[in-house]
Amino acid sequence: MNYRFQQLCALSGIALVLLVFPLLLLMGFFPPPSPAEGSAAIAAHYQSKSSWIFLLGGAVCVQMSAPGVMWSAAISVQLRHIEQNEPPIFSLTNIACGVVAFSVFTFACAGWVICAFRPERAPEIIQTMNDWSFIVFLGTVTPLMGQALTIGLAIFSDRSDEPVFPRWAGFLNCWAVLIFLPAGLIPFFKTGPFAWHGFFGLWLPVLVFGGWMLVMSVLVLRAIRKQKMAADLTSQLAD
Amino acid sequence: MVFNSITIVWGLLFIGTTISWFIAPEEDYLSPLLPGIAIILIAFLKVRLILLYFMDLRVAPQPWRGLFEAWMISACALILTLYTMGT
Amino acid sequence: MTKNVPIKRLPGEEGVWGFVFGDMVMFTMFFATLLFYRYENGALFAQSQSLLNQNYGAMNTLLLLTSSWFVALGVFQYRKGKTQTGARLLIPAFACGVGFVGIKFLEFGEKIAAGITLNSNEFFTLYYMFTGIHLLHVLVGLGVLFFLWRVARGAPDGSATQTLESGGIFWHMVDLLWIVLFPLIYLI
Repeated sequence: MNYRFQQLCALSGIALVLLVFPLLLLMGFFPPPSPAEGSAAIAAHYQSKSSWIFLLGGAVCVQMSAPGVMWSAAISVQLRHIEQNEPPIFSLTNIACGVVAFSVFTFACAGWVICAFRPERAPEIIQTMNDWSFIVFLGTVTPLMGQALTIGLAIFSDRSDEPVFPRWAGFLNCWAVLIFLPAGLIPFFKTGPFAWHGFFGLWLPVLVFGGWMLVMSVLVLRAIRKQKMAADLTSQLAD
Repeated sequence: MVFNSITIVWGLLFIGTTISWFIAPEEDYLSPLLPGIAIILIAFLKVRLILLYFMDLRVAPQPWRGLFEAWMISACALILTLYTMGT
Repeated sequence: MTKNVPIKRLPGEEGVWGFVFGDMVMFTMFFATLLFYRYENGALFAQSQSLLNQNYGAMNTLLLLTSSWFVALGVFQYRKGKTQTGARLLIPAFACGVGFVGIKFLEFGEKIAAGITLNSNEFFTLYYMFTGIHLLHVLVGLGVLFFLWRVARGAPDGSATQTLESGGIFWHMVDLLWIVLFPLIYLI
């Protein structure tokens, strides 16, 4: 069986969090320059540090779509266990939302690379690209909400004696949906806690996102181990 | 209607809401300190009634009840502090 | 009166309590944000607050309280074995919730007609966002109540009781959060 690869996929979720968060910190995006800043200040942010930090950080983040999708696939495999012979709507929705969520993430990160690629260009252009990055990075939130909601509903639908995920994880996913929601509203604010550098626009959704990915990775790893042990036992009995 | 603890609690909640409504000042300046504190305390008494009697936490095991009571006390303290600072 | 309950038992399921706690923590951050901005700019706050209609807020509080009361009574009757009475009590609970949504839309409509919108000032940003997110909880809660009503009308069993308790706990939380939000936004 392919348990090893499943484990690798689940681990790639952890790797993603451990790579992306320090890089965001390094690029000075915790918190990012305020959306209320003028173009000169935004341009200065990309010119202030050696531009290779943005180039390198952005370039690594841009490559994170594959680990993200692999992680989503590992979850979908578990949702498939929950569905058993039912139509695979949970696993399909989850992987499709995951593909969109992490593609969008790549497009957002590409904006940072573009800003740093020619930091000497007109500040208005840098500001536009920076706006694009943050509005896409935080504002495109329905794919992630879709993932969390799908996982939550799938866990609630699991009526087997040995559920794949614990039921509290279902509530955790539903709660995450609520936390992610305000990030989708950042286009309406340039100041305050709901803007893209504010508490409800950036900090809470992003930190909960990281925690949620880690928790789901660990739960998937545990589920895989259980399934592997059960399969080993069956094959021993068959011998 | 059934006169059980649930209904009595509802009556208390109703009275609490009405009192807060009447002691709240309507003028467009910052409300004086005392009515505000009274309103916050009434709100958290109502919260406690709901937690214990509607959500039935009074029959729950101690860790869970303690968790929510701890939330209640810290949220109330936080709100009172920020309110007093801002008045 | 429920007389001495012998064994300690957590009503509903554990997960729903965890969820409720998480949500309450999030709203506590909302409360703190609101009061922090009040601390930073008290005059603006008081002035904007006086533009709100306290009566709408208070009526909505009473509606949610009453709705919660019906749900608590319904769960109480259901546990006693009067499952159909329990189910029927959820209907007025639902109606009160719909009333809340109606008043909220009326209130938002009046504000928007008066030219007060999301970005009018800091106070109104928080007013629209926090009451809006709460309204979203009410809408989800109405869905939950409808689901509970269907469960309550079906064949009674242990898991149905637990479902009713869990859903009820969510609805009471929606009430509880409004009880704190109401004075902070409208009264003080």
